[in-house]
Amino acid sequence: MSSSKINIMSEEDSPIWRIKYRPKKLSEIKNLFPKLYEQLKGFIQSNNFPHLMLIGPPGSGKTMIGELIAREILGKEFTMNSKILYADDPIGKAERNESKRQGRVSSKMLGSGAGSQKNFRPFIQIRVRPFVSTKKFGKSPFKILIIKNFHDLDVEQQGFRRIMERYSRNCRMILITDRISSIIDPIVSRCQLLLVPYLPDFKFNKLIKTICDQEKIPIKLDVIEYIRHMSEKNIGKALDLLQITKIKYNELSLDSLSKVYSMITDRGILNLISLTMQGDVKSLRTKVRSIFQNQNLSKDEILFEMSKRIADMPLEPHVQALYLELIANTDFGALDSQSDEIQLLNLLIQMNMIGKMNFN
Amino acid sequence: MEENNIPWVEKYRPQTTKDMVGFEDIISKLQKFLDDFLELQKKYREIKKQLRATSSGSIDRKIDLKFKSIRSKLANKTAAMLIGPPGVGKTTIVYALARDYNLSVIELNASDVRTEEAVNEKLRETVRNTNLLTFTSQKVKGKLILIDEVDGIHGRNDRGGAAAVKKIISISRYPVIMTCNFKDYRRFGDLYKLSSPLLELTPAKPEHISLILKKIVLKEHIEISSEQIKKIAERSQGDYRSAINDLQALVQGTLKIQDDQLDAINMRRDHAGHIQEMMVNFFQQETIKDAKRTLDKIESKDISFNNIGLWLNENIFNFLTKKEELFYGYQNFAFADKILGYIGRTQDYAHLSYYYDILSGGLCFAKLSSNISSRTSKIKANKTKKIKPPKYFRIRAIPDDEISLVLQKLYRAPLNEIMREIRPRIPLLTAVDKEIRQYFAKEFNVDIKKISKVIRS
Repeated sequence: MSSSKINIMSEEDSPIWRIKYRPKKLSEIKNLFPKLYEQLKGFIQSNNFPHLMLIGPPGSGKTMIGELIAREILGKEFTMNSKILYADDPIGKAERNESKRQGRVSSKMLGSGAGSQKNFRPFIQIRVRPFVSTKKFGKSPFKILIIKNFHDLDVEQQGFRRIMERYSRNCRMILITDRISSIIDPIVSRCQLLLVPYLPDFKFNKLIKTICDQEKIPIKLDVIEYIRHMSEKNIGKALDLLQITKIKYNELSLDSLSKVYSMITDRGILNLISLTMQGDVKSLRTKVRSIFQNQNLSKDEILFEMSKRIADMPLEPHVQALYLELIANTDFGALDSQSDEIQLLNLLIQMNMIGKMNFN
Repeated sequence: MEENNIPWVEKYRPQTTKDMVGFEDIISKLQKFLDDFLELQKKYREIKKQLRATSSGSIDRKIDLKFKSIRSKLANKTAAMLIGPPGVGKTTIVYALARDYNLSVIELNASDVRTEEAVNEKLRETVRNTNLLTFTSQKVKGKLILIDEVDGIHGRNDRGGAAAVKKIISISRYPVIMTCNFKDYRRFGDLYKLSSPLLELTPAKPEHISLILKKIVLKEHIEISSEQIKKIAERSQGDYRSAINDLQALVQGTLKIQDDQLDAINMRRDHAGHIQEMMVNFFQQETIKDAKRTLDKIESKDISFNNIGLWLNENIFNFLTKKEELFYGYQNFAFADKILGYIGRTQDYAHLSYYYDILSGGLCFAKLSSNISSRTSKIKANKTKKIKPPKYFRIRAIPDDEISLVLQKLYRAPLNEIMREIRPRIPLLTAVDKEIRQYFAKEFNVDIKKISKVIRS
């Protein structure tokens, strides 16, 4: 349970803004999410709630809200009776061995299906059941399990149907997702859905402004607007961007912000795309290799980021469409492939050829 | 007349280390290695004699301890490894050194079978027994064991060979020098660990080669322009042996050299062995059937069908140069790769023949020019480019190390995101602000001075 151990003191003292300005009490979000606040207040007054599912775009504050609920209900026993899980985290070797030792996972199941892409991941057996099935501590009404990125569990969601019913008296779950469509119906029907939307623009601006005031940094409205746009309304990202700019340039201007933004987000993909459009093939391979090695990106990540970048680029629409189609084709077609480099080079050379063509 | 029959490579092989040009650094290191070893050996023998003298009664504990420490030191210093491409003079250095030190070389090279048994049979006794005569006279030579081309120890044919070599090193009472062409940590990592100086030879510079060629030219009374010598030196790609061989091949018969002769001889030189030849052959084939057969030949020797695509991928730019060619080539390549992936996943080897069809047909005929003869001539021109082995990349698994877990606690984000977004930002955050550095040092539970190191890892 060590992964959910949270030291409240250190959070308030943290010099990292993203951690420092995380709300600590439910009342703090009254102004930000007024409707949601009323609903949650009801839960807390009755000291009870059904399984919850928080739905909303990334960075809108779902995890924070889930944590606040747990904090309000569990009070001092928060650290003992709650746990945050990340559905897309790999299961480490130590954990796997531990569970093997305790006999929770049959050693036969692990490692079977060699060569297949989707390995059996004993997520429920290792992470969920031990927590859910042990009794709560102290006076709190139940345990609370928060699962982030629930949609990433894919097929393993099926296992939750029974668990959610069987242990509901002992433990309530707060499932957090930004992709409701990939969650199976039985789970959706077992939860109460709560929508956590993006903050409205003016509230987002106000939030940033108050934080800047507290840090005693002057900031202008156009800069705030820029930050909102660049961080895609993701509060955490916005704060990171702000703080790094502050540290690096000691001022917040459009110029310095855009520099920091490109520094944070650039991972060689833009360079790769521009090379693809004009450069020769040999340099492409060197570039791909350097990305593999230095940036630690896998083929899938490169493809994903490329598609994102190309969608943003000011290209002719039909060329853009062709590029995106090629990327999608490669990503989908190469599910089985052996060598990432060959597949990527194939794509890049194709894109290179299109770049040379004339569309008249 | 007899001297003409000796290959010049042997005839002009440097006899002592003084004759060698451009190896000062390596030689001095090897000399140090031998000096250290011989000195230790001398001490070892002296103490052993003392021990033997007192063995009947009580053993002096001090001497015993000293004996043991020297023995362990000796064990760590028995082996050296020379790494370098063929023909740069690894073996020559060893022989020259042996002559300097008056040691006799016992050589085990790739032409010998090197199974465990064979290695043991040949070396084990020599390595262990000190010569009977050493006790009687001082003039008898010591020994130097040379295990040539360690990386030629073949997995299948020389079963247990590497392990046997390891054992030989551990029990040897003579210095062992190994040579190999490239580093292969997966197979010979243990051997590298055992050998205390691990020396890497780079391909020789053309200037050095031409210097040696000029010496030979002077002695053999050949008419050759310095430009031609330069040409030979450059084309040998840092390989002394091939350069001298080329020179001899040119000179035999006529003592005057034409330029086109020079070109012809370089066509025949085979740098990276059969793989080079096969690869070139592959791109010269005129029918798919032939191309497939060549591919089969490449496969059967050193490279498994899994790797053949990687080899082709690594070297494809030598053969396909135009954009269109690469376009077609890679399209087929990617498709073949998908088939291979499918085979790997399902173990359905019935589809392997498609893989070969597409790989051979698709790559071989991606070459655009319809005229076969012009095609081949172009490829011939590219032949001088060396075939490289494929590079492997290990693609990262998401690490769940201590730092990531701490960050996860702080940021409440999945490890994937931590790795992708948050960890790269930490150095930026900590760059200037001491307070933040302190904070992270506390969270990571490390010393504040080490924090920058920890973050970067």
